[in-house]
Amino acid sequence: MALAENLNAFWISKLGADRLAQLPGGSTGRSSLDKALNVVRELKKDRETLYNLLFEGFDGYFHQSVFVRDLKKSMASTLANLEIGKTVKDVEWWAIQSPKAHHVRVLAGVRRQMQFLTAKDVGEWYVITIPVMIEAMPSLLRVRTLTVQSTPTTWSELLGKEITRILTPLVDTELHDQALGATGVPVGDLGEMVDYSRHAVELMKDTANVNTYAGTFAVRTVGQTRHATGGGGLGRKRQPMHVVMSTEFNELVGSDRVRQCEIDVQKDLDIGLLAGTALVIYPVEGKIVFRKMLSGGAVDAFLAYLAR
Amino acid sequence: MLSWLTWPVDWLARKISEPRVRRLQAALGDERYIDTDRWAKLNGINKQQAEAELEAAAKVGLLARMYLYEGSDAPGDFLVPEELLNTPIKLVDAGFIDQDEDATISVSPLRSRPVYVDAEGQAETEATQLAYAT
Repeated sequence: MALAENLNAFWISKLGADRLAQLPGGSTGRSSLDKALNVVRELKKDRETLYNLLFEGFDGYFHQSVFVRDLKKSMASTLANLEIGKTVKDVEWWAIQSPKAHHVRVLAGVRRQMQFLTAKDVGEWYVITIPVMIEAMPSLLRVRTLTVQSTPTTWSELLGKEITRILTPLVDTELHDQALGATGVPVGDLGEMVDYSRHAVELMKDTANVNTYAGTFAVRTVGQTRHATGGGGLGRKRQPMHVVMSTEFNELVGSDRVRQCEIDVQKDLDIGLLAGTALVIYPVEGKIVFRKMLSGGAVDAFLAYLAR
Repeated sequence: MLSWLTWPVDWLARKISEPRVRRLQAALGDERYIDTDRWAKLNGINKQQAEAELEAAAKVGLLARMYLYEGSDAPGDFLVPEELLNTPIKLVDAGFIDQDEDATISVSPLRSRPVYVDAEGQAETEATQLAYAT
């Protein structure tokens, strides 16, 4: 129980100090995890509010991976009919929201076994539940998985035991597959990965507002190539490609199949991305990884732009 | 006289004329695979028609359907025969010789896309190599 409580607090802590301070119990405690733990304890019997906070986190605060699929037939009614509280294939359906007609989002807890190395050099297994959101719109399906990039120190705090290494990584694609598998929808009805190559190229070409540091793109159908600028280190900023590798940058933005690109938004954009947002886009996989956001709201606004 | 080739040749004659085959070959060059989007563009048809044509070609054995995996957890993309989906595939067997010998990737149909390859050439070679290797 303590682990589940700690994990919930860990996710909620990502909402940031300002948001936590607005919640019951959220202004007392030293660290943001302490404050979030107070919030979770206050909400012990109010699961609905807790789940709403997780939805809110996905809207714009959580570092997350978003997978987008094109659908021939909407999955909104399928999602709306999932039985809340039921666990299927180690996925528990937690809550459903329907922000507008034909738009249904389901919050789920996906259980994964994780192994940790303790200070006594013993490998111990734990069942860790990760929040995942599945979202159906008329012709789109999105799966949003929380990114867990934590250190042994954080896991020591969460597990209440000194951890020296995390032996089992949490892989976003595995969470995605497991969550979709639990819906019971046949693979053939789950559509295809959206190709965001065109959007990625548009974004990278906006060099006045966006810096691109690396990119991998297809060479016809026979292979791929990657260009990347070197790291800065010692407080020096990494140089964007369009400044120091213009020939290679032009090759990248001339491609119609981009496999990966790393970008950093310099100024607020009217497509929903705010200055300071760092993204890794895997266009041909229909996958966007939000690495850094300086304020809430950026994720949903950008996804809405892509959906248009 | 009927031979084993009667049906594919008949199909080809009706579906793809000789000049069209030559045009397509020239356009494809050394490409490794073709997908419905490309086929549709090359032939000026819609995606559904392209899919139907490619599937028909696969049915008569001219093309083979495989799955293209472009996941970022692999050092590059590779083709997977349908029968090896959801099974661990050694990266070295997919041609990535710099990888750890035990490193595997399991490709799900959810995270790969169907493409078509020459049934007698590359498709068979890759499928057979992977099938024997795993």
